Amino acid sequence: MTEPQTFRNALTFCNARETLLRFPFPFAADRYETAANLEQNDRTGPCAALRALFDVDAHYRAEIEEKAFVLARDPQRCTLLPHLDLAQWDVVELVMSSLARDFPQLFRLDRDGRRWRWRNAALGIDQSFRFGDPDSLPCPPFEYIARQTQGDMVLLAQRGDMLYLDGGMLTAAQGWSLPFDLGMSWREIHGEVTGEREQAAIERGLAFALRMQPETQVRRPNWVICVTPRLDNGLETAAEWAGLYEGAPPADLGRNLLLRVEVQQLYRLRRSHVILFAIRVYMARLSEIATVPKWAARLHRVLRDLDPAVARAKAVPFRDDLVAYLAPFDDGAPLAPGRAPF
Amino acid sequence: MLTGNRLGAAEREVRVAEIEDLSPRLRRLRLLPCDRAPMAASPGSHLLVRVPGTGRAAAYSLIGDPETMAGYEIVVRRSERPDGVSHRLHGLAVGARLSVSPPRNFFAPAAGARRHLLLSAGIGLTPFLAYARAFPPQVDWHLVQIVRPEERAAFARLTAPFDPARITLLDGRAALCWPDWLDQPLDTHLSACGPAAFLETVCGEAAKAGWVPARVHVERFTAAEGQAFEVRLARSGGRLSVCAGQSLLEALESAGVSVAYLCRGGVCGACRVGVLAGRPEHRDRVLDAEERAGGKVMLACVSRARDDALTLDL
Ligand code: FES
Repeated sequence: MTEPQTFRNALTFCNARETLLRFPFPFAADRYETAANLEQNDRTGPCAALRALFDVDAHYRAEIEEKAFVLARDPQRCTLLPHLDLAQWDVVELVMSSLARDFPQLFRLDRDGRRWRWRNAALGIDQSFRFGDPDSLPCPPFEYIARQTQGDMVLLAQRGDMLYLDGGMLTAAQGWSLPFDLGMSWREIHGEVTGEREQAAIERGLAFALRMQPETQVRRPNWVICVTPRLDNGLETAAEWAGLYEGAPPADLGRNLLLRVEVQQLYRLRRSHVILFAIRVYMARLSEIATVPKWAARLHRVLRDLDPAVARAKAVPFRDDLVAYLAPFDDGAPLAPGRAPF
Repeated sequence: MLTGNRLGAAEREVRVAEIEDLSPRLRRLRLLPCDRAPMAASPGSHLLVRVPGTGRAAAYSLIGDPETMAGYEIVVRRSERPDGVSHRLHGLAVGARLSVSPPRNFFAPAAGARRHLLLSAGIGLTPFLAYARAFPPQVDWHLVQIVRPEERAAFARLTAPFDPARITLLDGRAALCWPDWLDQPLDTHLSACGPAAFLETVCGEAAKAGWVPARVHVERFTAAEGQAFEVRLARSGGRLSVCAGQSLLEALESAGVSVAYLCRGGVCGACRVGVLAGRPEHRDRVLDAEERAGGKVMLACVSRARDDALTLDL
């Protein structure tokens, strides 16, 4: 397999204007509040990226290729405990039916009882299979559909009043890893947090997730600043990327620093009662953000005025340089509220 | 006075497709959605069933996956109270229409557990019928069901589809020898469903026998329980009543008043409503001490009234 060049090596990743304008910019106001910013994931939102459950954009093929490359190198990035067999089919149903509904020009799902036919025009796939019969697909059902979906997915199984990370496919993680976190409880995954507010937020998140029902779908946009458009910043490959975050800032800040937004989504799966945690990653280079005046000015204010505790938690790399880079794009005039580009 | 005959946002209309009277007081019903095929639901799920023309709703466990059973199957015990939902359901004929909430589950079997001991009393059996249908062959399970002698035949009929070696029917609670049943391999999960007093006994006996709480699961207190109260809607001028077995959010929904919600469990804050008069009884985990004491806001999904009436900013 030749190494893909979009998210590694040549790092050719860039956003065309129309792709940039559908970017889920996370800041609705000039000050960033860490409050539990859960929102209803109901296919509405200030940008096109939020109007589909499993969003597909111009980077689809490149990301699918990157995912296949990472999995070929490290098959452990997709692991499921055996009790998740039913949950795998839940994911197949949820993702296929959402893709076919949200992007009918690319995907089509025909169902006749248990006889299903899946067509993915973007990848040239036409697959007939029996729902519930793993032998009728070329690979296990969760892996099959996760390989055709942008973003990462993990499965959280419930035992009594606790959730456990019992499987998933993680190829675009930022600072964590599936083999390391497999089998961990909700509290263990979130690790040691010092602040009382963070602790309370983790507990509230757990209480929320434990009670979540299939009819409720929520999302939460999370953000970090990253260096170079690498998707795979998992613990496994730390040797390849950790150095980028230390020492002198990279040359050409606008090109090499990116705002990375992870739209985290929770779904309660119908048959298995397992929770699907999907993480869809978007990136925009600072130089690209700088072409949208409202976003550039707002990002400048948010980063400049970041609460010190939040700044520590977010570990924004090269923050002073970043703020200096963005300052010329901010004339201090009031900005329209909301996350939309204009 | 608003009558509760409009469907809440997420509720859907169903018709009674099949009725089986298992005993004078136990009736199995199969309900079919009027608009589309029933969707799959995990074992342990329940439905809120509402009788049209009344604000009353009651929760019933599904006895199997609605997709494979081609409908929502529930078992209704006619209660002593002649005005309750169960009486209405016992008076219905095939073809009657009802409205139901989407299936919700607060009592799913522990994921990945290899051994289950299920203890139920009376109608508490129903979620375990769904468990038994869903357990894969490699799972080891046993069900102990306590019955009244006159209902033994009815419960035997409900458990007939399963391997008789996995089922024990006992006449009355006294017949249950706790030390024997609770002597199980360490990785066993114990789940119990039935009247509150029975659940208390289960928890007490399990603790005595050294079971850790993480492996003991009982069908939980529902947020909706409490006294009935009246609600006045200041902006729309409407009035409605919240019954004892219903949450304020459910009552608002069935009166056609839409209120945002996410968790329906008092942890997300989405269903916050303003209170103009009356004292709310807070049961959420969202409001801070000041808001709680102020009494000017409440979370409609779990909180209730300390007095007979509330006036809301709706
Ligand atoms: S709906 Fe979440 S607190 Fe009421």
